[in-house]
Amino acid sequence: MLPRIRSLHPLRVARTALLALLFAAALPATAPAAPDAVALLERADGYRNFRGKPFAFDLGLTSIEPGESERSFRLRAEILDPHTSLVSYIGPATERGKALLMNGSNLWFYSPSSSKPIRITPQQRLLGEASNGDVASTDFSGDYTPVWLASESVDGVACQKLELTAKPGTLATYQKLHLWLRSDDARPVKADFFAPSGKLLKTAYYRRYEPVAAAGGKPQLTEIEIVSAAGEDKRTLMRYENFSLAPLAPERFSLGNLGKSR
Amino acid sequence: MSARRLAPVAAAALWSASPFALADFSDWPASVELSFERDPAHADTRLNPDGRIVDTPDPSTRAALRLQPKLDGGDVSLRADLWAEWREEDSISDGGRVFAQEAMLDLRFSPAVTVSGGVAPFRWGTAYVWNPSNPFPDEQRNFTDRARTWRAPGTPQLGLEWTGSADTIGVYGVSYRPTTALYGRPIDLDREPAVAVRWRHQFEAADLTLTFATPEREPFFGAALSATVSDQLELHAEAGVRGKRQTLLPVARDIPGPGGTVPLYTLERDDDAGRSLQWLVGGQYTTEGLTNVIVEFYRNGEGYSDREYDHLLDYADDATARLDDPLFGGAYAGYLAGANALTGMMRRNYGFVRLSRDRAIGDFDLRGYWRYGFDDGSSLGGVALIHPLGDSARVRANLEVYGGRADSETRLIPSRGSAVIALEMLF
Repeated sequence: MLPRIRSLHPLRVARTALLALLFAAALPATAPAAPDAVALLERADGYRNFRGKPFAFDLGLTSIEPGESERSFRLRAEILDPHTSLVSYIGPATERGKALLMNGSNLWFYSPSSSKPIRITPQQRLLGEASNGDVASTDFSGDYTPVWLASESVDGVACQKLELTAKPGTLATYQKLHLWLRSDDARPVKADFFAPSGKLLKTAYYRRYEPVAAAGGKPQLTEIEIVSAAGEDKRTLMRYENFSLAPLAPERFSLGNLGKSR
Repeated sequence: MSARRLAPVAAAALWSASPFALADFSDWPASVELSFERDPAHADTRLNPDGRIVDTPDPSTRAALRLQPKLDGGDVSLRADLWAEWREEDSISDGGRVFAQEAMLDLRFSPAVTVSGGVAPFRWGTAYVWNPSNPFPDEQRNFTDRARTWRAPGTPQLGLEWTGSADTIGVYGVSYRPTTALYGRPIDLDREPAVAVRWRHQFEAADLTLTFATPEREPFFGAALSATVSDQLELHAEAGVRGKRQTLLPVARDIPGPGGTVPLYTLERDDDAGRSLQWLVGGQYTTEGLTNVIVEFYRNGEGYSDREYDHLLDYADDATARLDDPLFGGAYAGYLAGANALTGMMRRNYGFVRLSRDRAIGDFDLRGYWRYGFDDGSSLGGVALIHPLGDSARVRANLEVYGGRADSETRLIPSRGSAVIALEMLF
């Protein structure tokens, strides 16, 4: 016996189709597919480094605190890879000869006055609100695990908000940070940095991007403003310039060379 | 042409033929420093009765010129740290001295192999206040003003270093002159040849250094470890074992005198001394407010035991009572002078704390520290304030105070402390 096919009333069919259409239309709005946070972060890193190529740049650091005089450092940073870098103090004269070496999760500081490299931690202050790790490390992807949090607007710019948590075994500068990336091209716009206690330490605003001729006009992050969360209007400006891409001798990035290369 | 006229020509020719004439990079930092120092005398200690042994130090004025040239000619480089220093006290002039704290020539035979020769200080070790793993320590007078503390001629050396991706191995020939004094005029011993072999391995967030050396013709083993355990905390440890304890011990000998035997006191090394072990553990922590704190505990195996320390003081008391002896008074004064030169770190167990904060008070950077001696309650503390003056000058004020329990070693220092104010200009 053949199965009996139930006749469908045209009105019932239309109602069902309408419901299906409504459901389908509503689905993307209520549960959008979360952006790939790892891919977003890797794209964002592309504005801070040159995707594995060694490079160098000059960095100007200016610390501004209400009621106190400005302090400025000029540094030359050589980046062998995202976790191997040498930062030399060029000026002012009172700071010249100092150097900061990052090799993996090892961070050393050399001062001509002590003639001896000492191990330091990424949190130690370089100048103003800028920590050593803010300068020495140019790669979020290697240090942090990202999770997409939300789509948000920052100063009218549509952004994707990521939460970055330090990967176990790495020496990330911060335990946790929130990073806002522009939705259209993943440029970093803003970041909140947190202490292990959960306290907000500071906020970075990624102010300017400029094309780098040496990298075929690739836009590169060239200015960051870091504002203290202490609410005293303490801020530090980091300006990057004179980017160059060229092979760097790996032996320059050894602890034994740190005192010799002052 | 006279030899006098030829000399600059020859020098210019030599220079132009040298790799430095084609230097890829040269830098000539220099600085000038003018400082005033005041060390209030502690003129009535058990080692310096009524100020009869150590002169009351006068306020002194110092001027110093420092040149730190660096020339990098690719595979050949030269680095130097040259000093010209002049010191004037109210009553006497020390005159000047010129010395090379560092003058090293580096020859790179390959990216991994370097031969270095010249003079340079040995700054081996991971700890802040003291480095027991360093076989060739030099004088450390206090703990804030290291640029002054370590201002001394470098040690002649020739070294061969191989550097791999995570390892560095070095072999060094050294002409080492140990110094026994921490305060006052150093007792420099004869310069002696020594060798050292050093291996350093770098881990993911730590490094380990093992050292074997032969300072003072005795075997020495050293180990140093440092590790970064979080973004705010670093831990370190060091240890060193000497084949024979080198400490100058108080010795009493009876010798024939006019009315029988009299005791004479000297400071001598014990030829039959056994090994000595010294070690240090510590760490540094950076607070969320960016204050850096260093805490270290260390044991100086070369230091005096309670018994030896009591002997040192008892003999000093007897020597003081006999200072006016027409025959042996000079010998008793010599014993007391030698004992004064040892003051500062002659016991065994110490704790040390240092705080550092930039812009702690307005534009002033602050450094503060305190060392406590567990054996006798000695105490030594200091504070330093540093203020930049524009981009190329700074003014620095240091104050250090020696306190502690009566009869503790810091109360034996023939000074109550030191106050220094210095103006430094850098070019």
